Amino acid sequence: MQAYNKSDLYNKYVDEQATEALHTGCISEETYKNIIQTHPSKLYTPNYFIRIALGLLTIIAVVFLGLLLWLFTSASSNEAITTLLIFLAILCYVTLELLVKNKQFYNAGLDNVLMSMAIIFIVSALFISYEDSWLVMSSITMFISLWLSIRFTDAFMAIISYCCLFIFLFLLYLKAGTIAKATAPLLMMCVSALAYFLIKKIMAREKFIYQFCIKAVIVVSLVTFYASGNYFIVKELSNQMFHLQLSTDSPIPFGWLFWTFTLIIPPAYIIYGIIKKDFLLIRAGLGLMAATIFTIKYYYAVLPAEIEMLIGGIILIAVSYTLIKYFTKPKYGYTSENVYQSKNELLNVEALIIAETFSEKTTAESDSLYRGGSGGGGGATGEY
Amino acid sequence: MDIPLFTKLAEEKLINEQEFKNIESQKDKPLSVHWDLRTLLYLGIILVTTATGILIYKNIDTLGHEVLLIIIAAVCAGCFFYCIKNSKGYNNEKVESPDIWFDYVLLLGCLLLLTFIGYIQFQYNIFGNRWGLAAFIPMVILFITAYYFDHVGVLSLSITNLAAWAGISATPLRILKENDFENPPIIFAGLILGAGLVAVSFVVQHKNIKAHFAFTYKNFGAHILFISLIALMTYFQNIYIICFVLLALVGFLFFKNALKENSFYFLVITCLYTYIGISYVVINLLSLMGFDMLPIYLGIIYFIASGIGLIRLLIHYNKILKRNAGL
Repeated sequence: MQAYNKSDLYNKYVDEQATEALHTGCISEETYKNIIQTHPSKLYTPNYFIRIALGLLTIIAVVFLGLLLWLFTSASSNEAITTLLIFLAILCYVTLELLVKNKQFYNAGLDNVLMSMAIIFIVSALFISYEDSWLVMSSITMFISLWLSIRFTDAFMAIISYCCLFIFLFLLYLKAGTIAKATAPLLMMCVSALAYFLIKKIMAREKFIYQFCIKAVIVVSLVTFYASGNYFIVKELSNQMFHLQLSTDSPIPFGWLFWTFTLIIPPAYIIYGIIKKDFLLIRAGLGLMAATIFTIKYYYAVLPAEIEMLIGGIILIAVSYTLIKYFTKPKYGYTSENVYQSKNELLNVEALIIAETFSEKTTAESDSLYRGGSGGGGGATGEY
Repeated sequence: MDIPLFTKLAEEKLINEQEFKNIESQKDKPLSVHWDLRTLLYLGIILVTTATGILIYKNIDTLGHEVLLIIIAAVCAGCFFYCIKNSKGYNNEKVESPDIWFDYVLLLGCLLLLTFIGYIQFQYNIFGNRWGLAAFIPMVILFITAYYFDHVGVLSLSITNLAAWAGISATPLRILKENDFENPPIIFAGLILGAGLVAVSFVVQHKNIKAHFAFTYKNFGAHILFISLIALMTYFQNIYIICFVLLALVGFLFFKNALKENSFYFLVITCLYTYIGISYVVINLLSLMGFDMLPIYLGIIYFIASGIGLIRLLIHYNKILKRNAGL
């Protein structure tokens, strides 16, 4: 089902794990060299900065292509523009398939942008045709982004797909009537929790193919779980959606329940994360802690903002400083020392080994590519 | 690390038993919360300093300017005193900071110094109309601080100050007050400053005087130089082709250097800035054709083609840089 070769994805995963093992000093350079030599991956992921540039340039090319087609067809009616947008989305998708098939682009900036552009075009087309039906929009977008995330193992698409599913279920449930309106937050919390545990299950099986997708969806499901029970979100959203005209201090039914959720969930994440040694949980908990503080501040602003900031800042400094000092010597399986202290040196070693291993091979490979004179290599030949 | 995976690798005889044991024992090693705690600490410091700033601003009437200035000066002096006491002294090589507070305290001291000088100039007009001097003095102090205590953040601050000073010296105060940055003196100052910073980066690298500062100099220099060149091109409309040749030449030199040093970062920014220049020239040339549909079509086709072309170019050079290894 994936656009990439499974063994390529597996080899890439092995290379990553081996690199980590090298960084922590578990394996020798010789071993590392052996591993990456026996696990060559054809996937093309360029340097970080190059990826950004490729992404930007792809946006330029696609936007101007859309402009050109629009001018050319002089589409003005709703139907014509919808057709044009769908055509552009298909064009993006086909280009993406061809690029991945021929050049194995994998998170190269280009493929990510093409995918997002396809989704943007589809959503705009849907927005023109089904302006008020969010149900239709979210369900179609969900299926398309789900397909993209499965086929190209893309984390961002996985997030979009999850969010669309979430919105879709929420809107669908609201159709059920008054009881549904009252219990919607609880149901959405159940959905998030279910998604979290399902994804955790999949993680054990499909680790090396979908590691980024899985991590991304886990984080988002933690956030949606909290958001569904957050007092501010429940109150303001029902205010907006059901036109209740509640003021800031008028209570909502079961307000205490949502306050409990708001207050308990972030610390629970942190504590559970510390016990399980799961950084995703700890960091999500820390971020959501800030959301809880803002929620409390919104309804019970006792002190002026700067005093609150001052107190919060002092507490933060005190706590983090004590913890840094406390964990200087490793305790309970944690340490505040930087374990990757000599990372830069190791990065150099790694780069050298990779260069040594692949330098001859790449030249040989590119030679054969040029000799073949295939359509794909044509452009590069010109610059060579 | 993925234990089952390494078990498999061990079965394939790719890693030996000792190495596998090493990997297994990783599970029991303590996890590092170094960056998490540092981030929290930094957040706390930002909150406290911002809150103090707001508090002072709100209570300025009751406190009075003198008291406030004395407080700022005292804290600033305290910061510098702490740093001098704990410093390991000057060295041409990179000096690691002695403890976790050091870098923050030094940065706080420098920021307070800038606040102090800005404050007395604003309130008492100590430097009179010699605004250049008001920027020059903190700049010198900041440069000395950055070098003595080896702090890249303070170096960035001092380069920013240098740019402000150069801008002020290059223009009469009148123009600055009117906020007119599209004038030749500023552009020329930018050109000289940018080129100067790039030159400095080469000198520090070759003479090995704080060689790790080279990137900061070069980074600032490259951006200032390229932006000034593009500004030059848009300002002198009638001779823009000459300016473009200059931009292309600088771009070419940066390009060569990026390839030589295997720097992906400078390769990318050089390509993008030069691309902006080329696009400007192309649009200008197309606009000579009048306001017909044809030049608009040609312009759009240019952007599509050049976008794809540049993508191919970058992919090609990515391959070359990778082959030569480096970071």
